Amino acid sequence: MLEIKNLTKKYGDFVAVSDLSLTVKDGEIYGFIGHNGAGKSTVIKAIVGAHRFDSGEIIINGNSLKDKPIECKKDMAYVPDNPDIYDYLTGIQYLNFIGDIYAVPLEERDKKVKEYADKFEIADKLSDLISSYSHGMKQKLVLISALMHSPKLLILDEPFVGLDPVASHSLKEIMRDMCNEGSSIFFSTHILEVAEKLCDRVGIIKGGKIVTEGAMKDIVGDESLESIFLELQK
Amino acid sequence: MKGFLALLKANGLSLLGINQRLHSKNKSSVYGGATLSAVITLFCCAMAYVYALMIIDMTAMSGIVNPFPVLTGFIVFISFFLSFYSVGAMLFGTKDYDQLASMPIKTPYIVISKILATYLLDIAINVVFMVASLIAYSKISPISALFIIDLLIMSLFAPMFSIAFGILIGTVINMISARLRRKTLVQIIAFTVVFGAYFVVAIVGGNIFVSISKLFFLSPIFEKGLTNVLYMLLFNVICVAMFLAIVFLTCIFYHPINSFMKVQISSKKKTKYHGEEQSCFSSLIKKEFKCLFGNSIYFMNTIFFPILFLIIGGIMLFVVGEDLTVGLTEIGISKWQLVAFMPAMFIFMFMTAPVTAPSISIEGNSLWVLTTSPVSGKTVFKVKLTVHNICYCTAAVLFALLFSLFLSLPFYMSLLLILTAIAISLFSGVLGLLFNILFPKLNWTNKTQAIKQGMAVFLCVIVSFVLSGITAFSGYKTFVATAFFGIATSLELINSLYLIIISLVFLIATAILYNYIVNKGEDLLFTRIK
Repeated sequence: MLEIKNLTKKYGDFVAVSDLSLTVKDGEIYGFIGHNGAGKSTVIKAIVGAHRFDSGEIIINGNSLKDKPIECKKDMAYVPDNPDIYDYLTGIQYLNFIGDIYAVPLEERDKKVKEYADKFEIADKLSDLISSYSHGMKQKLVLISALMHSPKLLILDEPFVGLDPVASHSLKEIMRDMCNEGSSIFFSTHILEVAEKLCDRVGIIKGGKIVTEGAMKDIVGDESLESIFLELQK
Repeated sequence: MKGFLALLKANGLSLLGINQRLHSKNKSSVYGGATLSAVITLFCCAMAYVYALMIIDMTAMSGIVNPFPVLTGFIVFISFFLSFYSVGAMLFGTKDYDQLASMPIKTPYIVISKILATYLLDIAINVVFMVASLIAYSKISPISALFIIDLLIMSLFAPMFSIAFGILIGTVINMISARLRRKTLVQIIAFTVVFGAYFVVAIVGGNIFVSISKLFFLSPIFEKGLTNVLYMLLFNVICVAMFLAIVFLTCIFYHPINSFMKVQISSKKKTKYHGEEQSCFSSLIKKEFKCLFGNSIYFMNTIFFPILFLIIGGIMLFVVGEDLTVGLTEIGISKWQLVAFMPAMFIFMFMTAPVTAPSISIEGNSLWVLTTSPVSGKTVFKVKLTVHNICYCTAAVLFALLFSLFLSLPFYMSLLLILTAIAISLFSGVLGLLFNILFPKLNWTNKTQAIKQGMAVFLCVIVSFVLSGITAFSGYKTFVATAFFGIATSLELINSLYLIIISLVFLIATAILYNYIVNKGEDLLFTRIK
């Protein structure tokens, strides 16, 4: 579903990501972990098309992001670490806007919005302006907008930050259900316990390079992900 | 006190992106930015001199001996208007409010640090304009040293008067509208009423310069202060007293007002899920309009001026039209001469603050929604241009029609005038967008910074001033040429040709820039956003 080949991204002379390659298979949850400034968000922003990259290739569902960016973006959804969205719209207006952008049929749109708004307990707030939302509510709204068009690849940057325990639990369930239906998820997190329980595969990034990558059980073995991570950061 | 100084330093560094430039890894961008800032400053000084010359000439023609009360009245009004319509964004509801409120800093320090940036900017405008006016005035009349010293001292205090009034009225309007669902609309109407009332009073009050001077009610004290130290001190004391009183009140009510404005009304309506399915393009247009009409500062800083000119045009036509026509004929100005100057007027109206100039900056941190959506940059740019064109071309057509009616122009000439206005409006849209692609300002703590303090907006003002100057000059040359030919048919013919040439030039320039934006704009924008 997602294939990154030799990705390099520079900011001036600073190399943020260097020759990074990884693959996320269909129906897989891939955890992407690393300390602050390791290059996680840079990689994610390159995948979703928010930032251009200097060299390498990103293939999404068989399409090259450089050659066919629109086709690639139709197949995926992105939830950023900071859910900054249009505060002059109401929640439902924002969801309808995203529905129009991704050409989600009206019936499907209504069904999905109702389902996820109930799940994330935000249904009664959708008529309010987004400017009145808390960080967590905005996060929930962005999650609904991302799930609304049933993406084949879901990219999440620190998705559990700001979510209440109920919403966190619901999100984990949704992530697992999506993968069972064949979609893939690529997400970054600092909560290693969540990554360990949820992910099929994991990649650890340090200084813009992947230092280890593979199936969770192969990487962790008899130890915990936390101890492996700390060991690799030395 | 340390906290206050730290706040001042932080605010000062964020002003006009100084800190970003200082710490940029790209040194050429630092030097380029510094050069551009120097050029802009020099240009502003030159423009201040030209406008001062113009106003001094016009006041002299109106029989006013001392033009400085009029000049100060004019500057004070601009400063008042800038303060009162940005007070909501500047003082209340800023993104850093929670952080500042949690810090061990006294409220007066927070308030003063917020107001000080506006005050310094106003002082800079006032002093530059007054020095330019002194230079211009010294050429027609001798000026004493006392006059110069008193004027410059009062220039430092006059902005206090305008800021005090601006904060007072702006806060009242913001508070009244804060709890209303249509708060932006209420704010826009209130601002339009205040601004419109000023001009209506000035226009219908007979001599516009005398009216402007009278509307600044400290004007008599100011005028006496130019030659009398005691009056100068009295003027300054009144300004300081008004300023301190407002700062004092703001400090007392700063936190309650912020809390009051932060409370959002929750809709009691049950969420209506069934929306209307729209095309991607229509949905993006709708979103742009909601952004434009959902933010009073964005509205006021872009489409307010064309609307205001329309209102003024309407007043001219229906209220003082006949008197004005007679007056113009009496001083020997024919309708063809006015037509020759219309392109300059259109440029000033439509190019100073196009809707597109801050349209990318206003996306701020939410730009990711567009960059990660399956929408090409080309579509996004077309949408932004469409919104600008809908607003500006409508205003252009209406204004050209009003003017044609006012001058009773022949049908074909009215059409040419409309074509010229549309060509200039279209050009202003592509130019504003190109500048914003080149200079996006996406990191801001309040929307005023994106809308008013971006480089793209500054550049639009400069280009508008330069091009309106060039077209005014070419209009003048056309006018000389018509005088040279001297027969009525030639006057019409030359004016028609002039409008056709101006329209063609702007339409060709629009096509070139549009093509460049559509083909290269997305790549260009991505190199600018990091």
